[in-house]
Formats: sequence, structure tokens, C-alpha cells
Amino acid sequence: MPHHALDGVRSILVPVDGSEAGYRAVAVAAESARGVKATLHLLHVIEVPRSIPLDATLEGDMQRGEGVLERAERIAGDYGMSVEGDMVQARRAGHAVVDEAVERGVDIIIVGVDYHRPLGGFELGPLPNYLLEHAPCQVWLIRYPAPEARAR
Amino acid sequence: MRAIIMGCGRVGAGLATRLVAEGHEVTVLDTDAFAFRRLLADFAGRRLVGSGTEDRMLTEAGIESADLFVAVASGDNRNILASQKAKEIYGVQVVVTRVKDPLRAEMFAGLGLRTFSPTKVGIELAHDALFAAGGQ
Amino acid sequence: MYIIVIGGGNVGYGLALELQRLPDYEVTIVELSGSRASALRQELGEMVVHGDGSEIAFLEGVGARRADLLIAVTADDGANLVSAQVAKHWFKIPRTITRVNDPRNEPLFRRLGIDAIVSASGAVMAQIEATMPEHTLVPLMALESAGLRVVSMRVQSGSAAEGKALRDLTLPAGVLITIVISADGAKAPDGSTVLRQGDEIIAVIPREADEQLRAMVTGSHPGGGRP
Repeated sequence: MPHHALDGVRSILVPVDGSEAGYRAVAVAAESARGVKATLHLLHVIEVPRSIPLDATLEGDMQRGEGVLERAERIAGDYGMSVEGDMVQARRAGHAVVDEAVERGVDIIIVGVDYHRPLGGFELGPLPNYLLEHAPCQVWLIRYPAPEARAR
Repeated sequence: MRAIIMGCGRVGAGLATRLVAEGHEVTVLDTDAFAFRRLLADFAGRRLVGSGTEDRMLTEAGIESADLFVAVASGDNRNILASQKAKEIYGVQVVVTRVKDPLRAEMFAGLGLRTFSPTKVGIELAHDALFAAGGQ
Repeated sequence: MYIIVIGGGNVGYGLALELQRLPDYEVTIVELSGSRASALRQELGEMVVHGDGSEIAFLEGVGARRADLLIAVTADDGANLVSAQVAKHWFKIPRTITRVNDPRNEPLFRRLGIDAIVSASGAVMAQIEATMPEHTLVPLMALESAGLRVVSMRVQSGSAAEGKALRDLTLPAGVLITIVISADGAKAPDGSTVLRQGDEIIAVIPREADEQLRAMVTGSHPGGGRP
């Protein structure tokens, strides 16, 4: 029997921020999880600036978050995975994602990033950087090409 | 009048030279002796190496009998500390403070310091130059 | 309860360790040096922010408008002085506690109405406890491990300390009197503060100085009184 890449994987976490790359990572995670009967967790983090209390009620952000999670849940559903996503508020997303991973004992965090060069140079962004340094589990980073590169 | 200038950068040195020419008795303070190169060799005022935030140096500079105190050293906070000391502790009548950060300059002006912000002045000048009559 | 601490040096770090244990306190530590800030963040997490705690625009961004207390404990008296005044006059933060590194700056701080203390982190903690009686559960374990303790003593009649200004007392080495509570209320003392019978003092002291200080404040004068 061939060695299966996902042997022993029980649960997978995907942070979703509303980006296309995030949704595509959900598809990868759902397909992977279904194959080994692992559970799938979806997390949307609302980053709260320090000028307001962490537990403030942020109607607009929460509505947007609900929308993001609904779409991510539908994608997971397309792969036969029934998931209910979670939403949390934190100062920085990285911290919240790692906390969630520890709490749920997940084996893999799959994070999708869009290729972008905000200041002329390539930047990975704070969340992937933080996860790569601090996550206690596997981190799969899927970098999707920029739209113009895809079109070519 | 007796003036103490804290900071011998280009502004401090230039102001010191001008005040001396106007007949004032001037002492210039700087933590770095090398800064005094900006003064002419025959500068008629006094040069003192030391920090204007320290009481010992202020006393040596004659703060107790000074009429004017000008803080134009490099750090906003040091300028503010020295100026408030000159005004509140030593009772110097006229205290002028350079505060680069416009908001901080505004706030401490409200607390009674005569502050000026070169940042704010620079923005005004640049803006006026942009729309000056006759500009092409 | 939201607290902003300016300065992530030894004092700020010590404070952060204490404050982060407390569930009801939200704390932000502001550190000017980028490398020091990242080192602190490794240990303390997202409570650490890199920036200039004397800059109004920056403080706005870390929520100075909703802060209940600002503690300025950098090693730079100018920065502490400015942060404290910005807190008080611009953001109207109800309380400030400010470290004075050079005791000669103390008269200026006091004249400007800033609650100033010459401090170790333990003294700041004692000050927090004293200024905010509604939040009295600040643990002082870190002090213990440093060989320090916070003590409270009442000035007794006939003691060596009674009727003396603090500057005229030869306190045991390392003793720091942080608060004097008299009939007029609590205040952070300076050299001119005179101790009266019945005043309560709160001090941070090295453990071994306890007996000696107690004798000064509560015992009778060694040179007189007794035959």
C-alpha cells in the first residue's frame, strides 16, 4: 500500500478572509479532509484596531464575516463536507488562528494567499508570516498567481 | 537681554549669531562640542558643552537671570522638558520651543509655551509656493 | 480597564508580566525601539506595539481615547513628561503614573501636576493599587522574587521618623517610600514631605531592610526617649 500523504491527519483549519485565494484554499482543504475523513474547521478573524475595545460590537464587520463564512461553507459543501465556520475578534489574525489551532488540536492549517506586490516588491503578508513562525502544526501555504499571470 | 539657546544646530547657531549682533548677551548650550563649529571663531557669546535638560548646566548657563530661553535641540521631548523647566522652575519670561510634530506643538502652545513647528511652517511655505502668483 | 504602558524597558516589562495575569485588564505596551519591541512580542504577544509613545497621532491609534490609565516608564524623562501631559491634556486620560529617572526633575513633574515617582516596577504596581482602590488585586509576586516587598507602616509618636521631612531621614539602602497617606489623603511624597504621627506610609523595600525601617517609623528614637 502506498504511503498516503495525509495519513494520521484528523483535522484541518482554514482561515478565510474573503479573498479568492482563501476560498480556493477551502476547496483544497475540503477535498483533502474528505479523502481521509478528517474534520474541517473554517475561521474568520475580525481584526479590531486598538482604538476600540476588543469585545466591541462591530455590526458591519460581523455581517461581512457571516457572508465570507457562508460562501466558504458552501464551497466545503460542494465537496460533501458539512462545516459551520467560526468568527472571532482579535487584534491580529495570526494570533487568533494559532490559538484556534492549539485549542482544536488541528494537524494542518491551510492558508491561501494571492500574489501581490503592494509596494512594488512581493509581500507574503502578516498572517502567513505569523503562521509559519508560530503554528504548532503543519502549515500549507498555497500561493495563487496574480490574475494577469493566470490570464496569460 | 540675556538669552540661552539650547542646541547649536543650524537654527541655534544662526539665531545666536543674530542675537549677538543685536546686542544681546548669549549663551549657547550643546551636548556635542563639535556643534560649535557652526559659530564663527570670533563669536562673542558663550559656548557651553552640556545638556539643557540638566539643572546643573542650566544654572551654569545663568538660567536664574536669563530673560529668554530658546530650545532648538534635536529632540522634541528634550526641548519640551528643558522649556518647561525654564518657565516653571526658573521663571524665565520668554521661552520659545521648537517642536517638529505639529500636534505636539499645538498642544504645548495651549499649555503656555511659545512653540513653533518647522514641519507645519514647511508645509505652509511649500503650499504657498505651489500656488504663488506668477508661478509657471 | 484599559492601560497603556509607554516604555518596554525593565520597568515596563516587569509591569507587563504582572498586568497580563489579570483578566480584567487590557494592556498595551508601547516600545520605541523596533528590535526591543519584537523581542518583547516574542514573549508577551500582541500586547506589545512598536511606536513613539509621545506622539499624539500614534497614541490615538492605540486607543488613548478609551484608556483609563497611562503609565510612562521609559528611561527618558523628556519622553515620560511629554507622554504624561499628552495623556492628561489631549486625551483626558483619568490617571497617569510617570517614572522620573533623574530625581532632580521631580519638582518640575509635580509642578506640572503629574503623578511622578522615582521607580522600580514594584513601586509602580504599588502606585496602581493605591490610586485605584477599586482594582486592588494586583499581585506582587515579581517583587518577591526580586527580594523586594511592599510594606505599609503607620508613623508612631516618638519614632525617629515623626516630624521629619523625607529628605532629612537616612532611610535604609534601597528603601523607596512611594505613598504617604495622611488625614489629607494619599499622595506620592517628595523630599519635602513631612511624616506626621498617624500617617500611613507604603514603601517598596529590600526584604532585609524591613526591621530597620520599622524601627525608624514605629519604634522609639534610639538616641532619646529611653534612658
